[in-house]
Amino acid sequence: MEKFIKTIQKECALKKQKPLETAKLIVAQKALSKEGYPLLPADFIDFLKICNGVKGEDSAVLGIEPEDRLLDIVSFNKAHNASENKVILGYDDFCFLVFDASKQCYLLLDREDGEELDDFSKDSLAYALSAILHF
Amino acid sequence: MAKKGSKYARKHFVEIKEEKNIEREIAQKPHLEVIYDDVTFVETFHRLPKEDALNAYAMLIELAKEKNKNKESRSDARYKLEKINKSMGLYVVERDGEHLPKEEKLIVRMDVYGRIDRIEPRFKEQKLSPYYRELMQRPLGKHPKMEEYDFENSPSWKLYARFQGFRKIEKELKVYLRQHKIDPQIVKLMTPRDFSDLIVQTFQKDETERRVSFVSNCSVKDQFVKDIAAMHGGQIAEIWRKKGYDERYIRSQLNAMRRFGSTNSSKLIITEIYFTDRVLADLKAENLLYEGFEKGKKIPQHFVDYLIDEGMGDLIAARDEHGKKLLGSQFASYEVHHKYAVSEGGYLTNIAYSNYRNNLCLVPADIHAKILHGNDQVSDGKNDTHSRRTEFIDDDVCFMGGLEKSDQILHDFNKNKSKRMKKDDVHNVTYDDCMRELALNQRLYDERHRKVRFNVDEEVAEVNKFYQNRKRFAKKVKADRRLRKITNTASANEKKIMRAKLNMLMKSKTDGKIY
Repeated sequence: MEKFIKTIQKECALKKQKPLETAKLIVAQKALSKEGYPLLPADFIDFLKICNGVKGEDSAVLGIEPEDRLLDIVSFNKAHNASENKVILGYDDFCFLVFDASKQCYLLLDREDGEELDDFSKDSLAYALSAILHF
Repeated sequence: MAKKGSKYARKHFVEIKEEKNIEREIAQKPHLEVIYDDVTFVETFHRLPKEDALNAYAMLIELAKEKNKNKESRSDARYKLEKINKSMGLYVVERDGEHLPKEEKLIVRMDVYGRIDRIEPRFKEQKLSPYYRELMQRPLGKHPKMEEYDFENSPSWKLYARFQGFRKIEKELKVYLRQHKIDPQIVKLMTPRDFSDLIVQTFQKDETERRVSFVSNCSVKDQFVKDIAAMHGGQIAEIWRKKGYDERYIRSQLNAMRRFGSTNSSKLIITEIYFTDRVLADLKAENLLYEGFEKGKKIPQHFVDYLIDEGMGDLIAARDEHGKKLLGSQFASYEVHHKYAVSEGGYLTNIAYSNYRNNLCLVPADIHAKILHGNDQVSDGKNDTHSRRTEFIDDDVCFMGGLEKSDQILHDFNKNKSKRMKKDDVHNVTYDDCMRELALNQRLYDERHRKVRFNVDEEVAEVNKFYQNRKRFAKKVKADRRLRKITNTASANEKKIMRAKLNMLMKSKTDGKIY
């Protein structure tokens, strides 16, 4: 994961981003839960504490009230998520990256028909994020 | 005028109160004006700042969904969406399509981004075929000849070879297999996923690289951005100028697009156009002050490119009046959008067309997410073959700079694509044909090398399935039928083997023997 974060910092100039505040995290988790979505996985929260929302080429990892409001995880899920088991964590032109709480894994889902294109185990967040960010 | 205290006066009072409430609400949330305005909502939509207009659009999408039980507001929202879409040169299309199989979608995705995800080591057993895993771990005693690796007759490679980008790397894959003394019969047994792993093994810089690039120059997506910048850079700059963007951003972003095919403004270094005192001082401190560098003179473009390539772009970074660096993240990021959904690529006569330039369009990230992909939904149900998608009325839109039609740039890429189409069509195959061929190859291998025997009933069921599929395929569009003729001729030998096998199966079914 460390190597991955270094890559992201190099690719996306993340140093200027403000770190995620715990209070905001709690508010976001409550908001997601209120909408019926599962809670964010622990590894992803740890990642958000370092990189709160990442904009890649044609892709993004969502964050909690990040500077780029388009990447806000709560409003993005409200707009695009009708599931109770999954929470959207990122996207590109083809796929959504979701965490599936019932299967306890990360999934790449086709944006159009929701088909599972790939899956990553719960402790392989770096693989899942690489897949959606294309680096 | 109504008398004080009369029912008319009370009604009038309630109406005024409601109006004031609405006005107050609109003042707080300007996007609500589009929702409340039933007459001039299109004009209102275009008058609002972009963020508010997008919020209004998102709200209309919510109201238009089936889950909104209020029929009146649902149909009202749908009507407004239709009119607003039309004003932007868009329309919503609903399709009940035959969606592509997952492997095909992954291949299209790999082709457009020029990168492949490495399979997690623990999932290799699950995702890779036993044939591939076994043969990769069991090298031969000597190097086979290059020509022994018969990619042309590999059912799974045929799926990749439809794309120019993969055809280009065929040689590298053969070299890798030869170098590692891998049994040449592997290529006939490999699944599409096995090939993605082989590409990762061949092109990886090290074993920890999670996403491996296989393109030597640039990906389909990057090339598209480069082409658009080269062909329409002037028009794009004009659109951005109209929007009041800083000239330094415009130049820097277009330069990044031309040179790297990059549109992600968050990693963009915005550079000064002319030498400033600050720039000259910074260059002097780094011993990079050359003759002719003077305040007010234009910074030579090759020098800008050199500094960026050397990671020293900050020396000429553009600054505001307070000396603060201009950040790319302050400006819109652009993204490449597939105008027609890849998952619905089944309607294309050749799946390679999905990544052609005429199917791509450069759009701002916010419009991409909220309008063009505004209807995308994650659900818990089964895969939905019914899709609702926002598409352009004019097929030739290649750049969308904003919500106005005048922010769009058109380019007819169809003019020059016939040559490429001809090349790609030679390699066209259908997924089902290839997978059937692969299954047959694997079975023959099992019989020869693993001494496996099959249950006749299962085999017959397989045969029946084959005929059902043929029947279904016969109903497909005319173009598909024509293409199948081409692909059928490719494997005459395999067909012969299959026919013999089917005859044998039918015979063995009658006497109930298991062979």
